[in-house]
Amino acid sequence: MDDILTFLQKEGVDNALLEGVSAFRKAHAVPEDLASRVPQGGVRYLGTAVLDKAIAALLCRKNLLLAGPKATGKNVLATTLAEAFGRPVWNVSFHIGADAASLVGTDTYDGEKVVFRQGPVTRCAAYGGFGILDEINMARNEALAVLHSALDDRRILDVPGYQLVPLAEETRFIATMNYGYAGTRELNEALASRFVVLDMPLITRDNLLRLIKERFPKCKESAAEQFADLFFELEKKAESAEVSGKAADLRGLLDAIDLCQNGLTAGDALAMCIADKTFDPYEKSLVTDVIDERIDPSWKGRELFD
Amino acid sequence: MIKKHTALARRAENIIWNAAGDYHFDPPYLAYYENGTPDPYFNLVIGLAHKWLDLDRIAAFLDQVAKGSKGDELTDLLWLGIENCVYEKELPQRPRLVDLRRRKAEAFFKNRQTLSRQQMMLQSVTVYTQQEARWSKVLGKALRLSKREAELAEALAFPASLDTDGMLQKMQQILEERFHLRPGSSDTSLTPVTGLRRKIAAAVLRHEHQNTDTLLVRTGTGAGVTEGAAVLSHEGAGGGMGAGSPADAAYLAGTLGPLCLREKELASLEHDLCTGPHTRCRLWVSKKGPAGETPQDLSAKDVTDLLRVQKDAKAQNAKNLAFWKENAIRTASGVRRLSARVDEILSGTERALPERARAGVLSPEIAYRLPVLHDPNVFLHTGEETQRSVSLDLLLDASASRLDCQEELSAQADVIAKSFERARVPVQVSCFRSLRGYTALQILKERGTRDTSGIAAYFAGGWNRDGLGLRLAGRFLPKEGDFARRFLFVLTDASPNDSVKIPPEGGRGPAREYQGNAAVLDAKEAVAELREEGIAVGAIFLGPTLYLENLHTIYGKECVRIHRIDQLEEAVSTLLAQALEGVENVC
Repeated sequence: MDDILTFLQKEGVDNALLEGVSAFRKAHAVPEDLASRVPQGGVRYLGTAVLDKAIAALLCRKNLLLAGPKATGKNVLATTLAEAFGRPVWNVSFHIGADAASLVGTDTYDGEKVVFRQGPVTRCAAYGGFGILDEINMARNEALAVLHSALDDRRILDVPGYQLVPLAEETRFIATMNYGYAGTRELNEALASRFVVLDMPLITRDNLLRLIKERFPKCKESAAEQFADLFFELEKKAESAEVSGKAADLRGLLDAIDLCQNGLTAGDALAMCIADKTFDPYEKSLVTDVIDERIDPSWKGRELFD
Repeated sequence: MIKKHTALARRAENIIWNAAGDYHFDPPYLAYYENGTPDPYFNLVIGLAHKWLDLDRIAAFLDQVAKGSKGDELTDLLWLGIENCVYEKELPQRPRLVDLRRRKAEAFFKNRQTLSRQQMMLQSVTVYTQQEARWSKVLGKALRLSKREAELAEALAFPASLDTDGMLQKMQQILEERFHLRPGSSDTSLTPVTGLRRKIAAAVLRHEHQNTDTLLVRTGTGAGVTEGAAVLSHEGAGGGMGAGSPADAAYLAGTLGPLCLREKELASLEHDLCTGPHTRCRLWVSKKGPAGETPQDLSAKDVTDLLRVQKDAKAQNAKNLAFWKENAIRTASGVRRLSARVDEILSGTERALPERARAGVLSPEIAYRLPVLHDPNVFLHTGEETQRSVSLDLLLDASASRLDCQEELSAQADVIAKSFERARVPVQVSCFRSLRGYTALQILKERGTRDTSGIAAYFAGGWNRDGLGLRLAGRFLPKEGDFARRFLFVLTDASPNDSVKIPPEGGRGPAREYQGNAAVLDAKEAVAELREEGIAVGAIFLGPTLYLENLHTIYGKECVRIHRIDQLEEAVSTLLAQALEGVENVC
């Protein structure tokens, strides 16, 4: 696999931006004990225009809000950016019960005395990491108020009862949000104004084919095309509100190919990873129809892989 | 027309939209199997036709074609051409089509093995041969075709290179060259060949019936016949122009048993019932099966046919009896179970005897009511103390759609009859069918006798003119006042059709087929008339989902659906309980 800068170059990312990324990496070395937090290899985001915009924003010390429906690669982009900038990552998954303590830290007892244990956001701020705030709109807005000073020009984190933690120069926050999921809420204006928003487009067919080929190099071109077309057909069905978004699941599709690679038939793999995720029998029948019109359920092994 | 979005229609639309890649597209056709489920392959074809061609123009062309006398048949043929074209166009992008097409072909041949006699009668030889040719080719099977058939099969293999104009041109060419229909002045209108050429063509082109194992239902046209009913065009013996020849009567007597009414009674019945849409029909009422004698007045062909039917009926009678014998234990336990259930249900309807009636022993205490209030019920009716004031008539559909379950059906009817008799409910079992323009009621078990052996004479064959059949059965129900509650339960597939056409209103215009919406509405009227007379009519539906809508149209909510004939006895008790409790059932 190419190193990240070569990858970005091949992707066609603007040269000036690439130079900016290189300079950033040189200026901000990663402490050895945090090296394991820097993403290496893995799945990378495919899409030059989006990469250009995201890199430009981060170079300008902006925080990014990646907004879009599922299967648009928000988390993959966040990880790719952290890898590109060579920064350690702290992942924070938001949920309805998330509170300020779970973000910035809480008091704990170390055996002798009560001490402050840093939360992921505090550590990220202090050590110049990339904080990936996943599904930020799942949390209540009041729980996020603690982040306001860190996300705006003040770039400090005021931990109640502890101290002010200034953000390291290289710290960035990348939030993701999906406005379609159940349980998500509208991001309040105060928080939204602290991010630059990148509206994530759906992966293109070519990029999905590349993604499949990169993840599964042995996957036959013809099979990859059918899997890709299947994904877009399901996506279109979900977009037309004929089925819920559960069926248009890119992760599920890639998982299904993975299961096929490991010996399952395409029918079983797609049922487990896509069709069976829709629990309504009628909806499932619609999803199964789409799968059946594309993929032979008996396909396995040589029919799919070289 | 208000478009109905049933789950199955929605599923068919989804297949089409997915193939078309366009969710704003309002498909002009939906494809169903005869059991009412969407046909995935043909819906895919419809979607692909939208994707690759201008389906609106093609649909407009096919609509013109469908207006002709052989419209349905020609439309089916042309869809074979469209199928081939879009299949070839799409194949490079969707290799899965090979399997889907093969599966369709396999289903065609599998379906062929299970076609009932009635379905076989509905086959169009041309369409069937061409479908067989297409699907044989798909499966790599050898098939012997005449030169003409082979040429048509080749012509219907529309190539992928055709665009919409090319396809319309090709379709016109086929219609003109092979079916003697020539294009009219506009691009898509068709003018039937007239004059001498028509006569010649009519002689050459046999009268055939529409067929298809897949029903392509035209949507959104407002055409009544397509609503919920299979579009079946057919003509029976006599060209759909009615019946009544001595030969036909003799044939009926030979196949269904001699007429059990006096001529005057029959004439009176026909005078009352054979009106409106049934003007061209005749009636026949018989008891049990054919006598086995060969009546006079029959042609050699009819005699051969009659002997065959008599032989078949006899064989079926033997089969029914063998089945009964084989399942004697099951039958006995079924009778015990059902009679207990009926007993329980009816326990609430018992009435004390003697009771007031129009005849019996004059009751002095209430005698004044006759002259003063004109109340004729001043007599006391004596009877068994526990007699119940409920009667049941079980009317079985004896059309050919029941061919595959005759033994089981007769056994179930036997169980029902015995159970109700045991529960002291007089029951009469009859079956009805239409044959040679006659709507025939065959009384298999009479009320007042406990002998159920006549039910073994049940056999299936013919059409079902539900509207007339129901009215006829209504005339053999107990009189009002004889019983407090009179039930008529009909085993039906809710798909009335008959070979005798509906004459035009006012005597002008073409006669309409007795099928689709017209037949359904007629049956609905018949049920309403019976209900007005105080008869509780309920339906037990055994048939494809496609006709569920018809079922509700005809019978409202007084119906139960069964999926297997062995659920009949349970359905009858459920229907009875619901009718007595006034509970409406939703299928």
